[in-house]
Amino acid sequence: MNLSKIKDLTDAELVAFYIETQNGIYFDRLYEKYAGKVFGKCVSLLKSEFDATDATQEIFMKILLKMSTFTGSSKFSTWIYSITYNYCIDVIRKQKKNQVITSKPPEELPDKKGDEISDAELLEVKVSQLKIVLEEMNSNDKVILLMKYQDSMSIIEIAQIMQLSESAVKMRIKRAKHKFKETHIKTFKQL
Amino acid sequence: MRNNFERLGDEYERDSDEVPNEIREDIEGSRNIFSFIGSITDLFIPKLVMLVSSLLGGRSPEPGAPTDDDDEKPNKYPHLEGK
Repeated sequence: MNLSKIKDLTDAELVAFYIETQNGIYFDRLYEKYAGKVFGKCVSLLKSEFDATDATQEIFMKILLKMSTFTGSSKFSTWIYSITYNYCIDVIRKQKKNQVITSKPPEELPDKKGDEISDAELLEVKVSQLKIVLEEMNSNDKVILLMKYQDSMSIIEIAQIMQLSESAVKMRIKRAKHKFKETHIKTFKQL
Repeated sequence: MRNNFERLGDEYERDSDEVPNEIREDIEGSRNIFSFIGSITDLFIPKLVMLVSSLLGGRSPEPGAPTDDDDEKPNKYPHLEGK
C-alpha cells in the first residue's frame, strides 16, 4: 500500500491492518498523527518536557503492546488519551508521594448543592485566561476538566479511566467547576 | 466549532517543542525486537510441538492429508476488503 493511501485510512483501519500484518508503516502513521497531541498533553500535565518525553515513550509502548485489545467500542483517540491520562495521573501521584509535605493539604470543598455552574460559563473563558487558571488548579481537578471539555469524554469513559463510579465523577466535575470559578475570580478580578 | 478548551489543547501542541526523535527511535527499536521474537516463535514453536508429539508416540501427518490450514477461514476484517 502506498503512502498516500495510508494517509486516507481511518484510525480503526490502521489498527486493524497493523494487527493483521504487523507492518510498522501503519503504526508509524498512528504515531505521526497522535505523538504531538500526547506529548502536548504530557507537557501540560507534568509541567516538564523531560518528564513528558519519558511519559510519551512509555505511553506509545503501552499502545503498541495493548493494540490488540482495542475493541473499537470508543474512538481510537479516546482510547489513546485514556492511556495518556492514566499514565500522567500515576506519575503525578508518585511525584506527590515523594514530595515532603510542607504545606497544608488542600481543603475539601463543601458540596454546593443548587449552585450549579453551567458549561457555557466555563467555555466562554478566554484561552489565555483558561491556561493560567488551569495551571493554578490541582492536577486531579485539571485532568477531569480536560477529559470532559477538551476531549469530550463521556461520564462513563471518565469513570472507567479514573476507576470511579459515575456519581463520583459527576461530583468531582461539579467540584472542579467550582474550583475553576473560584480560581478564575481570584486571579482575574484582582487585576 | 472548537471550544476554548480544545483551542488550548491545540496551543499546547504547538507550544511544546517538536516531539523528540529519540521517542520514535526507541519505539522502533522495541517494535523490531518484538517482531524478531514473534518470528522466532512462529518458526520454532510448531517444530517443537511436532517434536514433543512424536516423542510421545504421535504420528506425523501423511502427505496429502488435509490440514487445518486447508479450511476456509472467515475474514476477520470483512469491512476492509478491497482496500
